[in-house]
Amino acid sequence: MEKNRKKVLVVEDEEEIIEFLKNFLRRRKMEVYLAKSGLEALDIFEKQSPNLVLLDIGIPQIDGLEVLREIKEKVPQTKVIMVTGRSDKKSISEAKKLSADAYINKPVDLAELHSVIEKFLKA
Amino acid sequence: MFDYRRELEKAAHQMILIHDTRLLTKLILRTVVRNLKIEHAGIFLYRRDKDDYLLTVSKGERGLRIPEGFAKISKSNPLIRFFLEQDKKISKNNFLLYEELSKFLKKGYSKEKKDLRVFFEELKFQLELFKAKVCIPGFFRNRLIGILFLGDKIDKEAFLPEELGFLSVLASDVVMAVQNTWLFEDLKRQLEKNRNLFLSLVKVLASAIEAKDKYTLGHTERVTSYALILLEEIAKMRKFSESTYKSLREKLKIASLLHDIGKIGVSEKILNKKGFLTKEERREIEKHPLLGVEIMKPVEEFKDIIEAVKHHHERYDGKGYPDRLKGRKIPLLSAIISVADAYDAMTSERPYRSALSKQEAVKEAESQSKKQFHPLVVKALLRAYKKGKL
Repeated sequence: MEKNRKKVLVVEDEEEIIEFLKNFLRRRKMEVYLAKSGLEALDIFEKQSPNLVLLDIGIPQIDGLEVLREIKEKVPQTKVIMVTGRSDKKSISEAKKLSADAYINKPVDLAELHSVIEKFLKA
Repeated sequence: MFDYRRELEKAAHQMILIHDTRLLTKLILRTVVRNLKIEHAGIFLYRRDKDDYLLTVSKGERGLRIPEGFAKISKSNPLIRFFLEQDKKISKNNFLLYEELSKFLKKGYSKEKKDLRVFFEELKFQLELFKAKVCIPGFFRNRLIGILFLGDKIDKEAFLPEELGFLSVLASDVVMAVQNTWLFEDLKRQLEKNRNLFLSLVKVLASAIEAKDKYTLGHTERVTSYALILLEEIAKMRKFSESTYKSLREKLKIASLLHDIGKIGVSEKILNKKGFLTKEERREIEKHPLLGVEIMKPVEEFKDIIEAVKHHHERYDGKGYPDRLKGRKIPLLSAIISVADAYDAMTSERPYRSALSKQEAVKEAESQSKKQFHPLVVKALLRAYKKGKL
């Protein structure tokens, strides 16, 4: 394993999307960790302290906004990209308040996703 | 070599007929991936409501697999602009080939074409994102409806010109199917709008009757709701198909709203008279089903509805009016309205008597099974009562 590979945590409960994001990120030479629920996400976050988190709001157990809050409390410099099907203004403003670094709606513009990821990993 | 071609063309044409874009695109991709032996393929389809292009289906066993509905591209994406803007040509054909684009970029540019170079670099990046080696546009007139894209062949060979030609035929089939789906959606929306307008008019008419007949305030709305409950039970008992049920429901709704429309032609004095009616007066009131028929006659589409209204005072034993129809000769919708009408009358307060309880009214109706009422409808009433639907 290369030393300076960036770590990404993907929090998502749909199998096909997980599979796609995993490949998408690995092609960009990242070390990818997967979590299907909020609890699992926080667990992996503690152990791996990833540089970047791709976070779906509608996940089981603890919801994405709650996970975001915890992550930002523990390691504020972690970059968090919210990826979600919800386009309602309430959850967007909530995520902003909790200082999410970006917000991407499903269906996802892959070019946008790519450039957001690049931007954060260079920083 | 193209032994699958005929089969695919046939299937595609069938799909166009049933307006199913999703099935069609899936079918096309599956066949293309399998027969041309490519790693993956996908289709971007234009969405009218969002004004962008959604990756509708992406199939592949080895290559990239993007979940349905997960990815989109905007109108300003180089992939879209390449097919829409005249100055973005790199060769004489209508497709976009990754190989051609790469060669084109290697040739180098004069300085004034720097913008174009930036554009093509971005385009190349887009193709790489989707691992697309070939993109085939689908146009309807000047509108770009969709883009079919293909990944590498499994053996990494180049695509043959005749394969590409065939693929554009497929792309135009997709366009046709999408176009049909849109037309169909528009038509449905229009019909729905007209239907709502029509139902409101029917309700206005129905309330015109109530304005005349003081004792029946709210009667038509209630009869309509009882009638629909009865039909629902009958449909379950007799296992009606979904389409039969739907069509009967629509007719029953209108017929029961309008069942007393003929009362518009009966004198108010008689309608609102307290106490017993003379023989003459009774005959006058009994004209209302036929008056209703006269009123609705000009509406050709109302054939079944007119029949239902005409016979809603017939009795199962043949002692009703106007035609003294007996048993099964009475239209089902009339038999339903008859029970709903009587049930509402029994459970409503009248100046000359107090209302019966629900239970008493159901009992009364049961005692009239095969006499005044169709036994099936009485059964339905009992079931609805037991389920607490009344």
